[in-house]
Amino acid sequence: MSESLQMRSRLLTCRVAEQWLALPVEQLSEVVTAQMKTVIPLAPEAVNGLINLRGKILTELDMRKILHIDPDQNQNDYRTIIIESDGIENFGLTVDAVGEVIDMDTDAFERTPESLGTNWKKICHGVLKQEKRILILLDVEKIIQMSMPVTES
Amino acid sequence: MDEELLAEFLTESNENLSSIEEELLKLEADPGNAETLGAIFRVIHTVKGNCGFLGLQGLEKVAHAGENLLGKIRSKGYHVDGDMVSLLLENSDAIKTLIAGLEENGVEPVLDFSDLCVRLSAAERLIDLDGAASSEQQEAASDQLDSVAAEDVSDALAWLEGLSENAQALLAGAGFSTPESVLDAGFEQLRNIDGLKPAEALKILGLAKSRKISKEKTAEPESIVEVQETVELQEQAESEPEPPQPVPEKSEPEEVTAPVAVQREQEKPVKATRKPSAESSIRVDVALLDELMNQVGELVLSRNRLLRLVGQSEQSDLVRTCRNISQTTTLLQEKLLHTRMQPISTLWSTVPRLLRDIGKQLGKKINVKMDGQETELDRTILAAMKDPMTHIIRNSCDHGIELPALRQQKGKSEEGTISLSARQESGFIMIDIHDDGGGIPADKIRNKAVSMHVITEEQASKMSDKAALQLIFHAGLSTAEQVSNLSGRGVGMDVVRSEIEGVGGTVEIDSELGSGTTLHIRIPLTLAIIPALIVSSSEQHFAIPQMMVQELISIVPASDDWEYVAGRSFYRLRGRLLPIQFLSDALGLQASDGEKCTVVVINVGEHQFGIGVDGILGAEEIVVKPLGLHFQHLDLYGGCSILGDGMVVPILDCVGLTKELRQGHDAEIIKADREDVTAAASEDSQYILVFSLGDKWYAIPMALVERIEEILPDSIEASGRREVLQYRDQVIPVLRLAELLDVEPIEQGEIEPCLIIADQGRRLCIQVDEIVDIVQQKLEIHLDSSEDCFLGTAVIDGRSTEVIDIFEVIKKAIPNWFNSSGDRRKRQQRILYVEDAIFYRNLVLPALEGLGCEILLARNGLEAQEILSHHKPDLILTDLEMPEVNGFELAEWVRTQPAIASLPVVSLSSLEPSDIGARSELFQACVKKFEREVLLDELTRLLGRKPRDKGVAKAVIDAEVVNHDAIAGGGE
Repeated sequence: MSESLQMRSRLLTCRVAEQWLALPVEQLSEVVTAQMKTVIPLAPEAVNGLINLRGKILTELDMRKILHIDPDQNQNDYRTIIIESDGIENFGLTVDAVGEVIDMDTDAFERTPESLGTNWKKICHGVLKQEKRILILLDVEKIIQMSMPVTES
Repeated sequence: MDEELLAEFLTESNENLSSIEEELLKLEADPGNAETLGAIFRVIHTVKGNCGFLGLQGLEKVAHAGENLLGKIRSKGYHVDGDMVSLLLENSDAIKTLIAGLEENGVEPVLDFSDLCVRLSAAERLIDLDGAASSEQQEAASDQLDSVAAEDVSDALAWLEGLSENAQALLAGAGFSTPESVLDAGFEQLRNIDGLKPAEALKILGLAKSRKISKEKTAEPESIVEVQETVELQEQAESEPEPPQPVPEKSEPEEVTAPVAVQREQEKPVKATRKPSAESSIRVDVALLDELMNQVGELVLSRNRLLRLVGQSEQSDLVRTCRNISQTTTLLQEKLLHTRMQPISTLWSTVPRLLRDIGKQLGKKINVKMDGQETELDRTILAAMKDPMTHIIRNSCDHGIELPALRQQKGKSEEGTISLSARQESGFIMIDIHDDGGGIPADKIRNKAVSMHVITEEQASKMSDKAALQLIFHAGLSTAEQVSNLSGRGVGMDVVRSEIEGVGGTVEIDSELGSGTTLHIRIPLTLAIIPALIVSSSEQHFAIPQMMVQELISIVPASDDWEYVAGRSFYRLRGRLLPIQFLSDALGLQASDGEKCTVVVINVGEHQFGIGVDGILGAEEIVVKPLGLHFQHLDLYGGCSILGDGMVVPILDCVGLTKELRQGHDAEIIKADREDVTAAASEDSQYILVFSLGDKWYAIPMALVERIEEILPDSIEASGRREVLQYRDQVIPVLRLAELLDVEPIEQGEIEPCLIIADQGRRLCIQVDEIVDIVQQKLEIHLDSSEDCFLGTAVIDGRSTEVIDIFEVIKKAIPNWFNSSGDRRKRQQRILYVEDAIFYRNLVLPALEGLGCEILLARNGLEAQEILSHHKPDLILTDLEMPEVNGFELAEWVRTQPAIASLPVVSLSSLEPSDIGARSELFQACVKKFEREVLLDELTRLLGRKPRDKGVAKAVIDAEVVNHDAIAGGGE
């Protein structure tokens, strides 16, 4: 994903805990409600399980788990964003809620601020400053990296 | 370069070239065969022609050189020798290398084959020479073929290649430096040159002639080709008004569009195969087939779901339509699976070439025999089998087949033979690779394994030869004394095993010293859609591929049969210790505290393991899908699938699941191995199958029963006056025990419980009313029966039970069943059978009679001595513990009697080998009671007969349900 393309794209906003995030729409195919999932024993921490999306088996990753945020006990209407991006296998990413699709405002783009939490920093490649909030631009590849099992070697 | 054109060229060339080695070897065997030569020529010619068109210069050059040589061979009717074929093989290799490079990178690789081209043209000249000069010179020239080739062609005297430098100098000195001048001068003048031998003069003349001819030809190098084409196309031309000359090459690609068809019809004239083959088959992209396969996989899943939904429906129309869809889907799936299948000959076609090369390298003569080439396999499996096959064959050549001199010494033919055979057997492909070499000494492997600390001395001494041989698959074990560059690096056989296991197969080795080694490979037909067992553990569902499953058993956790060795759980299953891996432990799940525990017995390689699960949910056909990135580090899973209800289910990889059991606990496993079992069930106690007919209970020893089946009444068919059942590709007779014993049967239920009895490769089905239980106890016959079909009465579970003499029953119903394949000899062999217990006598006698032997019976050692003073049997079979004179005493006595001292004596007792100890030296074999197959094997061996055919009675493969409790409950 080159920076220039990122600048021109449209973004889907979503929320994890109190933080709003943004993801380029080119990298996702749809957003679905909570799916039946199969828990796979011994799977990495961040993996919720496997879901069956119309005959396709996808790995469902949990944003909260990736970011080491405690699960919200009251939350059961989470959304799963289906990520379909070139060069990466398709997977589902659960977030607390999705917002709207917005146009990328290149003027509002800023590099990742130092003040951001460590875990957030690991999955973002910049922020968008809006009137009342800061949108974190998600980097799909970094999310995958974060979710991978810790290799022992 | 036009990419589409290039792709077309690559596919076509690969197809054409795939057969060229075979053709070349055929040509070597039959050098005069113009048809074979023509086929080879056409392949190279087509490649060359296409190269020119695509501008692939390097390739064209190599192909052209080969074509020229082939053209020369053809036009001169030259009979090729081994060297020439080697050269041509090298040429086709070079072409293949270039094409492979082209395929990979899309551009022609820069490789220098000028050396090869020089040798090819040198060979061409050699053939010319052959026409002009004597054969003696040809040989001389042939020897020089390789050495001269490296010399520079641009040299002015290049045409004199093949001549000694001295001769070249003499020639130059005499002023003959060009072919023309030599030709003008003639033979007489050349002979007069001082120092030039007549033979050399002749050779020079030949070279000059050929040089001149080739120069004349350069203007029209393909003249030969076209003449040939014209001839071939003449018949076609009769029906086609189009003149053949402008299209000589057009027909070539057409011919090869269907390589399989062409290969099969090779015997027929070429013309006849052209049209039909082009019309009846088309080329399809493999990726497209794979995609289709995926879609059909989805269809199968949807179908399963649909059937489940419709199952509850009342609408008959809907149900019917669904059945149709279901049927069509099944057919579609089968047909599509078939498109992915390729005959194993595609894999084996490279073997003759491989053997030729290895043979040359090792100085051995090796033949290949193939059987069942048409057996089809899924292409992915086929691809996975390529390396293991090659490695095994290399090994067989290197370590197996002896050098010709040694073979002669041993009285074998100089040429070694590698036999490949393939056949389909109940959903699996069995491949045997046999060599008639020296065999593998089991002791050598034992010693090696001990020195490598793979096993301990003690284990080694207890291990059977067969078990020891399997150690060859252990990582780091190679018995080659000298490490050759073919094999012996010690990384081979374990890789072979892991690769075969990777596609769900197994491999076993069998070897007989002096007469050869056989590797038995068993691989599944296809991997795309597999039957699987759905199991549950800690509320979760998992799939286990059915092909790994041997049987299912249901155990009470508190049972006495559990053993704990070194922190591991074992279950004593029919006298053997079965290592158990609880699924919940392996997966780190909270174990559920269910009362019962179900164990799935699986086969991994030559070992059996039990997987402890909470329950079995059923069997389902599943489509194997890969797991994502996040699971690549887990070798417990082989993939995942979607069940009929839409749930995703992980597929367990039994090999990975039992890895720990197999690696860390070799000792326990070896201990638990069938042949080395030391902790068998307590003396004399055995498994007894109890069943009912009418309201009475009957029993037979479980050892006689191969399987318990529940059969639908419909599947029992009438054949003449008999009833038969189709069972594992066999038609086996069905006996209704109630009828035979004249008992009133209970009313027929939904299913008929049947016992499958196997004897010497034949099977028989015995229908009973109900299976009551399988109990383990000492079978004491309290009341010997006078009736034929009963051995007597025993008390089982406090209830008196008739013990049936099943062999007597069979004999009564089908008198010739035992003898139908018996090994009849002119003189009947005699066995003296010494046994005091009537129960065992009745059990063993039919088996002995089955061998077609006359039986002399003695009730104890004393009676036996009496008989032996009058008769001389071929073999003595004796119990050990008997009144008067026991078995040991009898054997000792036999050894002291000169007339019979050398007779084979076999002991048949319930004693463990350890109990017999050193005294086992008295016997040629010690067999345990109820090991019927072992007994028959030993007797057959000791009677000097051919080994029994055990092809059919091998272990059963798919799930065998022996659910004690359910059976006891009398239901399903």
